[in-house]
Amino acid sequence: MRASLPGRRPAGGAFRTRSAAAARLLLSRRPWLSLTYLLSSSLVAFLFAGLLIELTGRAMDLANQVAGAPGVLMVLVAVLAVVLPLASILLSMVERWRLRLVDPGPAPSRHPRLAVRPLWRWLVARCSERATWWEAAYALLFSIALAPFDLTAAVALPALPGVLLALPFYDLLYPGSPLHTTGHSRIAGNLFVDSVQADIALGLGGLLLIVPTAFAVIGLARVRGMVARLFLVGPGDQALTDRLRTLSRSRSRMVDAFDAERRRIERDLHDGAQQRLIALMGTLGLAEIELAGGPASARDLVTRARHEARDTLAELRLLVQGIHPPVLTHRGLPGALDALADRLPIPVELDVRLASRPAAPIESAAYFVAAEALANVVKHSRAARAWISISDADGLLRLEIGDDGVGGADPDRGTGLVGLTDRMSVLEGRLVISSPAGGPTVVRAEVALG
Amino acid sequence: MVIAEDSVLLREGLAQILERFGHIVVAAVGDAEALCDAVAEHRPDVVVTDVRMPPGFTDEGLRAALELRRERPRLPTVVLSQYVETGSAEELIATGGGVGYLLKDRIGEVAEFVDALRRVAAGGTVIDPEVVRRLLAHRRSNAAIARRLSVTEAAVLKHIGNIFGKLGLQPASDDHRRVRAVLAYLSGL
Repeated sequence: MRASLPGRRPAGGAFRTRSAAAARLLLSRRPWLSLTYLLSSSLVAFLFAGLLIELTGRAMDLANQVAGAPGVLMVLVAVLAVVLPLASILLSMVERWRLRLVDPGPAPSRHPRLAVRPLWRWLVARCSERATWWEAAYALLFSIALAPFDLTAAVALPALPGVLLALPFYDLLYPGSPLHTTGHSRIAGNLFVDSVQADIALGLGGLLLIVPTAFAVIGLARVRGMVARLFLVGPGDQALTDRLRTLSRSRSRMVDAFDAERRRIERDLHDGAQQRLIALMGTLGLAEIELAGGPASARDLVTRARHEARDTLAELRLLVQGIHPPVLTHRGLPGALDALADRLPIPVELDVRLASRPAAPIESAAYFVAAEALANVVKHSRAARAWISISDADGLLRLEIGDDGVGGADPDRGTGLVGLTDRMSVLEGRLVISSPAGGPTVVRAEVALG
Repeated sequence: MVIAEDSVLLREGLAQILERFGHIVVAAVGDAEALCDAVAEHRPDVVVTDVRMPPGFTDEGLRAALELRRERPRLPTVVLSQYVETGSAEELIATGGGVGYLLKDRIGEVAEFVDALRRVAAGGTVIDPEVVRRLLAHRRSNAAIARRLSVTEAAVLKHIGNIFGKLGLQPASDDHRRVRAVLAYLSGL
């Protein structure tokens, strides 16, 4: 039902929505954040690589003086095995923090928590972690390739519209510059244009170029963010998200299937057992009449049999009511809630404001919330009256069941309300219970109508 | 008589009962469309129909009965329902005299069932006692009842005796308020 919604929009709607979204994106902080991300890369890389190289160089110098070539080798091994991994871990912390500029998703570290003492064990564990080596690989790639690339892109991309926009001002400020000949602007080589028109054209061109430039910056920063995420956060997060999505989809499919199954059972009982019992009662009723002049004992037996059939039918009807009330299918929530209120031993005020009939899963969830809440009112609240209100304004179905009882209902005790909370959460709705000691109790359910 | 009931077993049971009491079943059909055709063809004295029938298995029978009553306002019609739905009873009664709304359970009380059909055929209104009980036990707050009662009280009181006759109830003074609520329901306000 939800998936079919976009299809109902007019044909031009999708394009208009998309260009509106693009405009919003350009006017947001996104382009600036992306640019900041790309520009700050080089600063981080410079600090990281600079410090690492400087410190390594000094250590090697020192080692050379103390122990000669073997000392230098030892330092080199130590740097590659310990210093680089540890520094990479630090860099990665910075990089994950920086990632938030372009990627709002959570970026948790892949390192497991470890006891810091004893220190040597911590060092060995950290340096042999897979996550650490991913981070070290990122650190190298980042320092050698990514950061220079970021800097180049961050400078080069905005340069063209920047220069074009600046040219007219340059003309105004420095009329006698080498870019100028009398009354003409030289764009490139031997290409001359009349000055004023050229200034306007160049300025406009610069303005127009801002849009694709901004998108390019956003896109590049995003790709860079994805690279950083791949190395520093790993694909595990995405896999989990996918799995969660699959799970919640299958959960809601299962609930739909249960619902359909309940309807089917109800229909089967209605078409099968119930009709047969009624026919049986008819036959027994006829037998009673035929036996009117016969032996009283036989007539009594038949009457008893008919009464038993009647009681069985009544029991079956109650059972069906709990599985899926037929009145809900026939008359929707107004009729079903009315019938529910009718069966209660206390007065129930009903306020139904429904403009249209909700989808079947929402309808039955709302019904069962009301049924369970009212059952609790009768069982626990000692209330003298209760009320139900249901409305569907603003694309949201709101259901409230309240009473004037003693309150103190605990949703964690008893499975009824827990089941209903689950049911609502499958529909991405919510169920709130307010029941202070001394009352009153109000159960409120909200679910989007999709 | 014309019978509409989708369960073959029950349809034949019904026909057997009616014929046992000397009625002639001119057509016994299984869905609402066939019911309308049969009524047009046979012009029966009484129509007996199930509520829930093919193709949708919701309330096709009731809809067909209401439709038939619109076309032939005096056509005696008895609707048999598996469940008490006060709303359905309301709608049916709003179409005037010569209607009945009974739970299917009543078929077992053969003599009373056939008598109810006879009363409907004579232009009477027969409502299942369970429906009346449900309405009388309908203990809403007075405010809610007052909201539902949108006709003048005098007009309501005028009909009370009438209604009592139809329901076969003995009026009792303390039931007055509730009876007015029931009446409000029955007149389909």
